[in-house]
Amino acid sequence: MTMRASTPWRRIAVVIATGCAILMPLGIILYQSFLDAPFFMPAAKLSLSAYRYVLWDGDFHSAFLTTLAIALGMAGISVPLGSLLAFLMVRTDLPGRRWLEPVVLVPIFVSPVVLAFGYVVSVGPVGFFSLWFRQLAGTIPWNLYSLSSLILIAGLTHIPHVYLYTSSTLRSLASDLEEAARISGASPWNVALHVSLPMVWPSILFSGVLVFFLGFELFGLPLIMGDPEGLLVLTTYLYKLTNRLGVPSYQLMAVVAVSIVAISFPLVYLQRRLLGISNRYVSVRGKGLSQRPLPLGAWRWVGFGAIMLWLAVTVVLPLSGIFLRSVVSSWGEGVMLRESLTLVHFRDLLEEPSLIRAVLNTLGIGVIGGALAVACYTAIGLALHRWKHFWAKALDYMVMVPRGMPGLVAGLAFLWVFLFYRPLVPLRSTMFSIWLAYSVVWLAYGIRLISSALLQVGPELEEAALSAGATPSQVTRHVTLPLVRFGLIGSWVLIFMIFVREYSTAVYLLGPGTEVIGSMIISLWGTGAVDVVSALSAINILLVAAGLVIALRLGVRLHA
Amino acid sequence: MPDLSVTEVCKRLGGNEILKGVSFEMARGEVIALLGPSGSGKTTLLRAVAGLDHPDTGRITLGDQVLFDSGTGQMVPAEKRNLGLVFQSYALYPHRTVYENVAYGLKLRKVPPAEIRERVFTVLGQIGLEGLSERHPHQLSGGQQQRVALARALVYNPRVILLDEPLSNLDTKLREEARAWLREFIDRLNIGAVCVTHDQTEALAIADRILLLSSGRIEQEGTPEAIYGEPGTLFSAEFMGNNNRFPGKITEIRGDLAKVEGEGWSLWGRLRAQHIPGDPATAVIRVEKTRITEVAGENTLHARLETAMFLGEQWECLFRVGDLRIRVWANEALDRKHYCLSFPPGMLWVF
Repeated sequence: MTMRASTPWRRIAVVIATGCAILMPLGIILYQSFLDAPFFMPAAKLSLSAYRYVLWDGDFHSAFLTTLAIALGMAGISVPLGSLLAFLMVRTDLPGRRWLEPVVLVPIFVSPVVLAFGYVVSVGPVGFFSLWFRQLAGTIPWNLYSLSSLILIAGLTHIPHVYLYTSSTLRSLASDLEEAARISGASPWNVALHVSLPMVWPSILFSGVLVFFLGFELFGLPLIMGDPEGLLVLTTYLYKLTNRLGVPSYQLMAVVAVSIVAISFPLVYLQRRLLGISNRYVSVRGKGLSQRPLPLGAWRWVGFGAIMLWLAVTVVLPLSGIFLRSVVSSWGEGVMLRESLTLVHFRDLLEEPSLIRAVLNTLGIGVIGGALAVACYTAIGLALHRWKHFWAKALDYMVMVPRGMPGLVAGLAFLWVFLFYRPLVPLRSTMFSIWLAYSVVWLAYGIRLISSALLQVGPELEEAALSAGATPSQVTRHVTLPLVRFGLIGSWVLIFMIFVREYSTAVYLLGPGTEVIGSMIISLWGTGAVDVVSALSAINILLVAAGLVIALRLGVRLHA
Repeated sequence: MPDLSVTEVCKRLGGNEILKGVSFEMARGEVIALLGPSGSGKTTLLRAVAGLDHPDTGRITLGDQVLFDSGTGQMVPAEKRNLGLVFQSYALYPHRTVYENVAYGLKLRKVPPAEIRERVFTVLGQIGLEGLSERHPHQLSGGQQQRVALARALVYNPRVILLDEPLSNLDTKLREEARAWLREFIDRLNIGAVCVTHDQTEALAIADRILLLSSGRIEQEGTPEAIYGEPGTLFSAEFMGNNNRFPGKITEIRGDLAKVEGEGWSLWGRLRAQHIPGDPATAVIRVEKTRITEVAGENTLHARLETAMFLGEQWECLFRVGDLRIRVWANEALDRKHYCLSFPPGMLWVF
C-alpha cells in the first residue's frame, strides 16, 4: 500500500495553538495602545493620544534613563565577576569546586521580590545588620535606598547568569588547544589572552547582552528598594500608572508595555544571533576532552574567600534576615531579639483564608501547573523534533516573543485577553489564567529544556523503530518518550521552582481565587504588613529549597 | 524478475549532489555490497532505499511494489516498507532488554504473544544468544550487540535486509569472525541483503556482487572477482587491493598491449582505456603480481632494495627504481641490495 508523503497535520495544529497563545496577548497590547480609552469602553476609538501622553511625560524619561543606568551598571558588575567565577570554577584548582557548583546558582532560584525584601529587613535603615553595625561602630555607612545600592545588588545577584553561559563554554574547550599553544611557546598569560579568551569571548558578550536585557525586566528589586527614594524604572512606572488618570488608564499602560517590548525584542534577537556565534567554537570532540586544572597556589584561598563573601552578601544576608524577621514579633531600635521570638506571624497567616489560598495555590501551580506546562512543552518539543520545515522555523521564532515580554507586561496582557475574549471571561478569576500566563512567559525556557533532552536521543534509535514498522506516533510513544523520561522529570522539578518563584506575571492577575505568594507579597508590601510578608517570604524560600533538594537528589542539571 | 530495483536516483543536499543518478537491480537472495570511499553517497543510497532519506528524483521498487517514484510523487514511509535495517551503531533501544528489542517489530505487526515468544527465541537461538534474552544492551559485548541488531532486523522476515557498515564497530579479530558468520547466516536464510561498507575486504568476502561508488555515481559493478581482477577504471583499480603505480606516457601500441615510458623505465601492459601513442597514462599492477626474479628479461626493471618489513606471514619489501617506489611481497628475507623485478604484461593494466 502506497501513499503520498503526508502533511503532518498534528504538528501544524500544535504550531497554530502555540502561536495563538503567544500572539493574542501581544496583539491586544498593541491594539489597546492605539486607543484613547480602555478597550471595553464603547466610546474607545483609535488615537495616538496615549503615545503622546507617555512619550512626552518627564517621569517616563527619567524612568527610562534610570533603567538604562541600572541595566548598564549591573552588566558592568556581573559580566567581569561572572566570567572570573566561571574561570575559577572550571579551570583552576579552587577548593570545594564540586559542592560549590550548585550553590553558586542559588541566587537564580530565589524570587527577586523575596530577595529585595530580605535586604530591607537585613541592611535597610532599621534592618538587623544595620542596627547591630551601628551598635558597634556608631553609624551606618551604607544607604540601601539609593541607585548605587540597587545597581550593586542587581549586579551581584546576576553573576550566576553570566557564570552559566561562560562556564559551559569553558567546559567545552579541550585543554589540548591550550597545550598546543604552550608547546609552540606561549606563556600561560599568552595562552589565556590569545587562545582561551578569544574562544569564550562570544559567550561573555552573549551573557552581557542577556544581563542588560534582564535589567530592563527588573521589577521586584526596584519596586521595593527604589520606592522610598521615588526611584522609578520602566516596570515600576508601568505599575504605578494604573490609576493615574482617575479611571483605569489601560491605554497608557499599553503604551509603556509596548515601549518595553520594543526595547527587549531587538535584545532577544541579538542574543539569538550571539548564541549562534558563541556555539561556533564549541568543540564536538567526544574523546580527548580532558582538562587539567591550573594550579593557583595560595591564590586559591583568596578566590575561595571572595566567592564566600559574595555568597554571604547575595544569599546569606537577605535570607537570614527574612527567617529572623519571620520569628520576631517586631523589630526596631531597642528591641531585644531574645525576648521577642515568636511564631505568631505564621499563626496569623493560617487564620487568613486569602493567605492560606496563596500558599496552596503556589504549591498547586508549581506541582500540577508545572506538570501540565511540561506536558505542553513536550508536545511542542515533539512537534518541532527533527522537523525541518517552514512551520517549525516559524514556531521557533514565535517562541522568542514571550521571552521579550517581561512577566509584568505578560501578566497585564493576559488579564486583558481574559477580559476581551468572551469565552475566556469565566476563567479569569481561576488559577487557569495564572497557569496560562506562567506557561507562556516561560515557554522559551521550557522548550529549551525539553528539546535539549530530546536531542540526547540518537536519531538512529528512532530510525530503527521506523524501519521496524512503527508509525511516527508509535516511535514517539515507544522509543523517544521512554528515553527522555528522566529529562522530563528533571524539567518538571526546574519548572516547579520557576513557577513557585515567579511573582511579576501574577501581579495584574491577582484576585480572589488567584492569589499566589509572589503577588501577595507585592500587594501586602504596599500596605506595610511586614510581619506577614516575612512569613510568606520564608515559606516561599522553603518551597524553592525543597525543589532544589529534589533536583540535586535526582541529579538534575541546573544549567539549562 | 529483480527483487529490489533502483532507477536513476538523485539526491541533492544544499549545493552538493550526493547521488547523481544511481541505478541497480538485485535478484532474490542476492547479497550486494555498496563499496566506496567516504562521501561517495553509499549511506545516502541505503537510507533512500530504507525510506529514511527522501531522494529528489528516481524510482525504487521492491518486487511489484513501488516504494518511491518522483514521477508520480509516491513515497512509502519507512515504517510501511517492511525492510530490515542494521545500523552502524546498532541502535539497540537502551531501555529495553534483548528480548524486547528483538520482539518489538513483531509486536508492531500484532503477532500473537505466544508466536512472538517462539519466533524471538528461535532467532536468538540462531544467533547463539538464547541465554542472554533478559540482559540490557549495555550488558553485552560489541559482538553480541551486533548479533542482536541483526536478529532484531531479521525477526519479522523482511524481504531485504539493509546493513550500514555492520562490522566497523568491532575490533579486527572479532570483525573477521563476524564477517564469516554474517555471510553464512545470510546464506542460510536465503534473503537479499544490501551492505554498505568502506572496507574492501569486507565487501569481497560478503557480497555476491559489488557496486563500487565514487562521488555519487556507480564507478563499476560486478562480482568480487571481476571488480578485483578486471577493474574498468583507474579509480576501481586503485581503490581495490594494494598496488604499484607507474605514471608515464604511452609510446607504442601493439594490439591490446601498450608501452608506457617514464624516466629511466619502460613497461608493456594491457591497455584498459582508449589511448593513442603520446597520451599520458598510468600503469597499475597489484603488489602480489609483482615478482622478484633472478634474471633480467622481458618487462623487468632493475631495482634497489630500500627496506623490508616483517609482517608475520611474509615480508613487505620496498624497492626503488629512479623516483618510483615499488612494493613486493617476499616469502623470505632478502639479503642483497639489487634485484630484478618482473611485471607480467597481462597483469599490468594501462589506464
